[in-house]
Amino acid sequence: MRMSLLHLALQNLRMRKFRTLGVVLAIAIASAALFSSIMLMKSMSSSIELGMAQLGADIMVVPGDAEPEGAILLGGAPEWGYFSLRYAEAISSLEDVAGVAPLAFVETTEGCCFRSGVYIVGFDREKDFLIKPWVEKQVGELRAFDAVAGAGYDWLPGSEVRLYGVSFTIVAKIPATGVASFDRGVFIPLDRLYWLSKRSREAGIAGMPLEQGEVSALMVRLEPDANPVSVARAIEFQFPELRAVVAKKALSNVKRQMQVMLQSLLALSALTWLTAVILVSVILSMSVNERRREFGILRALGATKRFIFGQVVVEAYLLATLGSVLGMLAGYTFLALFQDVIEGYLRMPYLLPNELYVALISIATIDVALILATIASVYPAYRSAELEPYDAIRSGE
Amino acid sequence: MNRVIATERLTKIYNTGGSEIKAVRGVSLRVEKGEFISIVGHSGSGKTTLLSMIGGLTRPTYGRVLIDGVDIWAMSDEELSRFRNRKIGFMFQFSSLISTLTVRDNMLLPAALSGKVEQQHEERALELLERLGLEHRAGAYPAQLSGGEQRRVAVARAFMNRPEIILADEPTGDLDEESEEQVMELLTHMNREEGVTILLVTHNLELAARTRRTLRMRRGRLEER
Repeated sequence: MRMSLLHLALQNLRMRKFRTLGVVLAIAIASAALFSSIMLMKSMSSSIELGMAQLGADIMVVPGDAEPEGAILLGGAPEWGYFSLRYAEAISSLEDVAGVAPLAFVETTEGCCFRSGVYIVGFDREKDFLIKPWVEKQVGELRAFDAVAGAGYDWLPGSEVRLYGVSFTIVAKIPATGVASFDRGVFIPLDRLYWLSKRSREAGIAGMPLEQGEVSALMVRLEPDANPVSVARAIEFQFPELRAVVAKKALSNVKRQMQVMLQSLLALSALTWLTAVILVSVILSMSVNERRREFGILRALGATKRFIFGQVVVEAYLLATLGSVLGMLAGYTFLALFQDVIEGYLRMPYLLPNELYVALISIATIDVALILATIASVYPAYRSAELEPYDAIRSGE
Repeated sequence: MNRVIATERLTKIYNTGGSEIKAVRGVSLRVEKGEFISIVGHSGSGKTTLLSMIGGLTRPTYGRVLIDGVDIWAMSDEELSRFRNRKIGFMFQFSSLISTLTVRDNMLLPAALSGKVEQQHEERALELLERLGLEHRAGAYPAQLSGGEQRRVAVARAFMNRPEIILADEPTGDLDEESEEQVMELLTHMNREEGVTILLVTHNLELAARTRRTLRMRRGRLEER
């Protein structure tokens, strides 16, 4: 049958473009808000967990004047100064400390390297437990001018990158962590980074701030069953000029802060939906009033009350489906395009969830849109179906 | 002859702002199969209300409408809708096309509402449009037609499902003479050749004179003329 309920509904939406556009836009905005909120929530929460799992450290030691602990662990870009590597030795000797891995971050400047504003991360060939085990598993020992790329680059193994005038070969990539300085970092051994620092100074290449024997952070791994808070206190007691951030504690603080923000986002999204439902309901009611004669004629030609009810509801479903799909596409595009901006603004790691999760959020968003379209359309649909046919036909005469 | 329509003390009272308006007062009417009856009367005399109660579009306050012996107002909505679709063709005193559908789709609506649109329905639609000189307008939307063309399409559509009864409410009002003649010829043809029972409400006494029997509505009551 060429002409069905769906055909009639589609024709009506096609021919009343302005009204269709208004409703679709309202649903699209509400869907985009909901979809983006859930995506943000999921991506931030899983990024934090993934990032911490990747880092694998119990305590992070930084200079005493470094930023708040959440930003230190997850903000990605270490904006504090360097401190002496000699602290590593002293901290290793503390009770319950299983290992200390020094890390040095150097932010590239304009003209020095393949790109400015990214980090060269130096890790210790011997003591590192963050990057080294993974590199060893993938490629074995790093050669003199080998480097490992963060997950944010599309480089294939064998690609060349220029760092302070020296060409390095990318031999592997580490998995995504959601921590910007890691995902957009280029990893080389710490001794090679010191060499690069010395060489760049000798060659007169400006912008390398790191001195021999300096580091940005010491990542501390504890013995099983050790109390990280006690060890952190011991570090700060012994070295008051340093700050020891307990990963789990910082993580729960960050999660708590994030929860408040996301609850606000969801509340805003709920408000948007409420507005959309009212708007859609009003538009549908107006539309039903305009179309009283049409419904009356359909009834005279043999349409049942159920058919008329279905006509209004099917139109609402079509609008909801179209609106929610467009809204989700807009939301996803926004999150993907402005990933860097969002990450910078939130100062938190941020990875888009995998395809399965995106599909689940999409289905949930469409479901919400359909449920709310039902709520918005039931009353106008009922009113249309219950019209006395001849009164409806004569309306507007 | 078989009695096809019978009304028993059919009454319609409208309550408007606390006052009662008796639009139709106890009308009892008998129509035999194949009759072509005109109902004349002044505006507000209750002609249209009577027609809409007979067609199952307005529920009477009192009384019964029997079609082929069946009380149509005792039917469920599903039954009454199916009954309207299969047995009755309506013509209204204004354009009654669905503005979002083409002429062709408007023509096929009664068939679509009864189930499935088949080739025979397409052929029937074309044949009826041809009879009214509108076959070349099949792809047009109502807004692209003149008022007269819209009315003629609606008249043609009334015959789509080969109804046994046509309820025509001023079908030629506002039409030019030529279009009016085409519509009357179609009605006469369907009545004579296909035995369709027709109830025609009109102000036009010349048109009424072309029917076999004329009734007059006066203040809600029906009289033989």
